[in-house]
Amino acid sequence: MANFVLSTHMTNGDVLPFLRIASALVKRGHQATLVTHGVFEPMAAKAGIGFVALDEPEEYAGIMKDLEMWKDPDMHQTYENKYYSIDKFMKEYTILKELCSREDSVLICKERDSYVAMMVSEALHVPIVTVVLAPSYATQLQVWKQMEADITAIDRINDFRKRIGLPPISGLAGWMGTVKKHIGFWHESFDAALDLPDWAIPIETVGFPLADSAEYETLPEDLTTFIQEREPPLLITGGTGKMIKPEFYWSAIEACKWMKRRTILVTRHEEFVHCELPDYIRWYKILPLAGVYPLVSGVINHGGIGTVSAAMFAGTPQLILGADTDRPDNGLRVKNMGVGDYLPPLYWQPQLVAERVEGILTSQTKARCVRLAEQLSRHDTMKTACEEIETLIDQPAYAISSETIRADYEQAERMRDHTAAQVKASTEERDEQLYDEKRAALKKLLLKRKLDKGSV
Amino acid sequence: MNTRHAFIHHQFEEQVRQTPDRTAVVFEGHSLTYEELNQRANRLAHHLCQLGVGHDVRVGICMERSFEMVTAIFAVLKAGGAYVPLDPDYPKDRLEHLLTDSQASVVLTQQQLAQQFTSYSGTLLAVDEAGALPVSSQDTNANLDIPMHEQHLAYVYYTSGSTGKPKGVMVAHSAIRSRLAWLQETFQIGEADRVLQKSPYSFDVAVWEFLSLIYGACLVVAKPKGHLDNAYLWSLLDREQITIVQFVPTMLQTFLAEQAVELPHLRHVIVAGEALTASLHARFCRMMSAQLHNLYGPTETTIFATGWTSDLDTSRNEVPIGKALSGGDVYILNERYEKVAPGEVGELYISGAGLARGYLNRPDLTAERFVPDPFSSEPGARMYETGDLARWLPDKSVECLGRNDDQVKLRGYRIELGEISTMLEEHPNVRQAVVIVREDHPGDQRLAAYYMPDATSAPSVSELRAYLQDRLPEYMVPSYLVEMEQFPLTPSGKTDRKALPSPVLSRDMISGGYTAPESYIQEELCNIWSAFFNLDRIGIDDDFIDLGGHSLVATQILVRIQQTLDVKVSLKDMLTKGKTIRALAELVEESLLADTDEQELEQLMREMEQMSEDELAALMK
Repeated sequence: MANFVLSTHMTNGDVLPFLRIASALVKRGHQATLVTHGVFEPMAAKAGIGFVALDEPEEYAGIMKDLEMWKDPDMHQTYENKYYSIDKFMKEYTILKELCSREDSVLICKERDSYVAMMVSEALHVPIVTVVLAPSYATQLQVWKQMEADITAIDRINDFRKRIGLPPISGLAGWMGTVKKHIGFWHESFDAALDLPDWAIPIETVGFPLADSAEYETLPEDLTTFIQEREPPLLITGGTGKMIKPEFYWSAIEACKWMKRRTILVTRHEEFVHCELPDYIRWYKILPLAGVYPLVSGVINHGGIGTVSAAMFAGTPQLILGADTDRPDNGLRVKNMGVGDYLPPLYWQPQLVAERVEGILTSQTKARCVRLAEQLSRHDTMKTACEEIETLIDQPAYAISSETIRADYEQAERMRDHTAAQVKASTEERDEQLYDEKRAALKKLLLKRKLDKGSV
Repeated sequence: MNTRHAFIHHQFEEQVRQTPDRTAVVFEGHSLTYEELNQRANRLAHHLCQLGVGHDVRVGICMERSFEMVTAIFAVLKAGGAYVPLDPDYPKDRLEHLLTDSQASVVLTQQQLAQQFTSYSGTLLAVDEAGALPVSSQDTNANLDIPMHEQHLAYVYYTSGSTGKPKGVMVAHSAIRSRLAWLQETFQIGEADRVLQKSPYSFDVAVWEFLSLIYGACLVVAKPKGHLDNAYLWSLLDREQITIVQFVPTMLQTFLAEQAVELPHLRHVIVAGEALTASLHARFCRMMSAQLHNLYGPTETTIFATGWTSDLDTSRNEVPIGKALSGGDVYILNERYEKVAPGEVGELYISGAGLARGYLNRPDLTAERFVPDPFSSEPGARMYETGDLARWLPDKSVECLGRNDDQVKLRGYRIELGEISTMLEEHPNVRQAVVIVREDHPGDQRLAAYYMPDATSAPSVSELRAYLQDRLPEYMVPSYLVEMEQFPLTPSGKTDRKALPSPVLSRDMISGGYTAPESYIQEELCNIWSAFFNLDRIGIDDDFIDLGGHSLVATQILVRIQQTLDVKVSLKDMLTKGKTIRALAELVEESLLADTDEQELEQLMREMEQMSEDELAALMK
């Protein structure tokens, strides 16, 4: 039986799927160790998997808060200084390296942000598989290619790589492209609901990583009483992270007030609760949501893939108020599947949200949700995922290759020179004869400027 | 009549006799001479005769653009049969219907497409397979001598049908002869001409492109799917020195939007298939020196029925479809079959030698649409009811005003909306469906389907989309599928199509302020953004993320900006500093100026200083 080492970071949505794979692998007789934030240790213990903490549990709230720095471009550098430091890299590298010392080790990491796991794979020739958590991430490499010039993390990564004797990488996109196996944690029906561009990375979809039975906790008694005393309430949840527009909670709460519908509100962040709540809206800071979804009439959520799939699994209609990252894409998929609806932020107004909530509570939508839930329950995601992952055991060809990285780096250097020469040539050529469209645009622009200055 | 020159394949054989060594067809860097093409067609025709092909026997042709396609068309005609184009991109169900309805006894195809016909019970011949055809010999290479009558069929083209099934239009040799005669009078096609074959061959306007070979032209065949690639088309037209080319107006519009080069060899550009707008006409006249011809005609009237050659007047508000082609007549009639006065709107009818024989297996529909011509002195003369509204212009040409019924033209394709709604209603869980054309963004017409599902087992939008994609060509799959609990009704109890809700979110639904674009660049950016967001009007202060944007959408928008304005904005700049149209327009402007050197700017300023006030005002529009 093999040794699996799992590496992931950040929110519940990023960590729980790994916990579930680890648990499934252990049940199949393997050894599995999860390396992530210390706050997840109790859950790992309950799931019966190995665990190594990257930090102390009390640091977690600060880490979540720091994610907000991404909202402000001026703070990006500060964030990178704090989280992409040589010390942090070294700590994680040492942990993963030690865990991977067995010959039959396989690394499982989250796509795009498991830099250290990738370096361990390369240095120790450990096969590696990345886990993609939502379909839209399949296109992120292309986005990264365009962002590459702006990401300073590359220099830090190369500094660290030099220190551990690895050749430099040319860019993040090329580096990520050296991983040969990706599995996608979503169901084929979700995959089919919206087409991805041809150039998206090839991914084996294995199904949604639905909650393990160990995660179902007993619900608080007052909640059970509240749910049972009248018709099933709505649920508002925006996930555990703080990367959410405050208007999400405002519009969802106001919509429920507008409809005077009984509602359970879940958020651990007090600042998102903007008003005193009427008695038909119950606020909980934390709830074991897996057990709540089947008991409510509908879920208003932020479109995070974990919440979306859990609501689908429970057969509950959902309205996604999604903004940015994978959320609009998830929202459109849910809408196309007919198991809910999606609204972008421009429309987050109480009356409109209320109308859309009423729209998802029809018998037709509910029937589709129930049908989908039956389909999902018949599919064994973890079995499919484990079978895909087990194909990597004793397959060093799935490790990241320094030769490929070296070749990629050299080619990128050559391309850089070539492109610079080409840009120069094409600029010269273009200057000779600007395109008609561009000339027209320029003329309008110059004229407008003149008009604005009052000189014409 | 049975004289040899009454038939196109005989005219082709005559041309072969005159110019055996001239190049007949060019395809992807290879060519065939007239003699070679004729011998290939003869070998295939001999084989078809052995397979029982003869008068009015239908032969399916399912091929990509290739030498084989041109060969197959002439071979079927030479064998005395009628060809039925089967677009390889059609869904299996549609292909099966076409085969059953046409009773095609033979299908000619290529090896890579043969697997589409596994359930076909007739003779399937992959003509590019080794040994598919008889070996070359004096006998098999020789022309055939099949006695023919001009009323024998040359082809059957399928068009969209309101019953939910496409209908086959039967066209006889006499009708084609009449049309080609007019074509030759007008364009004087000769050995110096190089005609581009790029129209999809399942679209009947492609017929004349192939048949230009009877006048000695060289047919340059575009690569498969090449008609959708504007950069390829520009380069092909230039490299192959094309003299005559045909476009659907929508395609001409996108073609002209690409970077242009001089095409000194191009003599004639034919537009057909949908309405030519005044603005596109004007744009063409300003950009191109070739002669522009606007041709009109349903498949039932054999390729074209009327034609108008541009007068180069860029100020005209309407573009006529012209006058009846020689050998035909057009009428504009009211509901009582009376001719309307000039300027009055009526329905367009077409009569004369170009009319099709009727619809295959549909005598009822034939009688309904091909009605007795009350204005002809010829006994038994018929006229075809086009379903288009029209009026006479003062110069005695006809202006077409669009459809009078449920049939629409979208991006060059004629679509019976009823065919789509019938298909939806055939879904076991759809009770009722209505399909309409919407124009929620000006100039952007899209199909929208509204459906009432079965109460117990309602299909989702993606299920229905997949269902339609399996059964209809892509251009007939609606952009929007909207589930309804019930349809709005008119006072008389009919479905009130005008009251169907917009599938696009309306600006009026939100209280936030809307600011309209104020400059040309902002307008362009609004146009680009509107393709990505489901909103009727995008304001210049709307936030990209609030509209539903994310990084992938941003990269796609930046690609469009680069294509449209030749300006590169970085993704980081857009996502940090350019999240509204107003802010992005500033980035674009900065980039435009940064990309232009001082000398060029000075030159532009000088040009502008020499402009009159009217010209400056026009520039600011």
